[in-house]
Amino acid sequence: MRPASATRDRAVLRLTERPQSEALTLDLPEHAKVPSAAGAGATWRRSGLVTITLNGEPYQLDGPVSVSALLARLAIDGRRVAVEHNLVVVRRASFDTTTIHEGDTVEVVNFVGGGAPRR
Amino acid sequence: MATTDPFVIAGRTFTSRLIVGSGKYSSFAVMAQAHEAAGAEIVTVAVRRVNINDRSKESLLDYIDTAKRAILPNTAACFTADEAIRTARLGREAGLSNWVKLEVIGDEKTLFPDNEALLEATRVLVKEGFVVLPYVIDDPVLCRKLEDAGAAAVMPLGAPIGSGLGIQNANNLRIIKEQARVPVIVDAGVGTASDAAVAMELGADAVLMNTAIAGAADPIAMARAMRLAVEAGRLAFLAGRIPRKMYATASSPLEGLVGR
Repeated sequence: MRPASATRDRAVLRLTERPQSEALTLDLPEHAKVPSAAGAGATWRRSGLVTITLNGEPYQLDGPVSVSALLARLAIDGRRVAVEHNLVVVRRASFDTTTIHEGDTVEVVNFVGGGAPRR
Repeated sequence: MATTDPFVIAGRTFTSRLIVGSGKYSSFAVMAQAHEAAGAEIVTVAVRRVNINDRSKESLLDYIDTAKRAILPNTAACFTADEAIRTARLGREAGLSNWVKLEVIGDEKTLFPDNEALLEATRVLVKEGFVVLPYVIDDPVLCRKLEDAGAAAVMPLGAPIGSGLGIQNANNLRIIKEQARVPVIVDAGVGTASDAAVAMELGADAVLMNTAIAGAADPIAMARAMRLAVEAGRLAFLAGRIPRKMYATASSPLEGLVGR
């Protein structure tokens, strides 16, 4: 419904630029992780610990999580915030189905007092 | 007056012509009382990162009666079109409203807008379906460009944000109003009630302010003063003032004077 935007394009670019070894470790269930012949040097992260950038700071998770799970972990009411995942706004209806992976950037914002602020 | 003189932005009708901010109040409770005293139907709010480490803080939204007042997310303190666009998108998601008070600041000291970036961000956001209300310098040419770009209103400043200097260029505001086909909202610069009245007497459709109320010694009393000033200014504008003249014109008849 929303037209593709410059930031969305950039986010896509960011994702494709990520080293493939990292991208591959994330979504696949354990049984599907078959090192290829060419990937002999690839390291698989079995520990599952992932580091994301949350509101500009590094933040560690036990593994990839949904946006809903992240908000629950942070004790944040999802109805009061907006979430940006790799520069793309996540619709509230997609909080359960959007997964946050290693290296992802997440912004969680809410409304604060403001008008014509004196800085 | 409310029923005969509605204020319409993007097809939505309001009775109050005083739009208020939500920043710099001593407490949310005082803010809520000031909003009530102002009779405001639109409240602008900023979009900021949630404090991950301290979730104890009260939520601003608990103190804004959304049944009475529309939330207008703003992009305050954004310095590039990209920042403002990202913030606007997040504000839409957080507030479930596609209205945005668009600010793209170009200078730290004056907080004057960056004209080119503002125009660019307006074009992008209008295309994405936003109702864009841009905070703009009091420049009639730029206001026209923003309107052509699809802005739902133009919001020229009366004076720098938070300065309380009052309307600095009344003539520009008058020209902006004369040419505009969208509402003109004077945003920023009001210091006291008479400033708000002047803006309305010039023909502005509404006034937006924050500091003048929130920073007053008694914000609730000032909110009421602003409400009255905006109403008085609007009425005076509609009533049509007398022309200015150099010399006196007597109000009493000159005939029948005693002793002549």
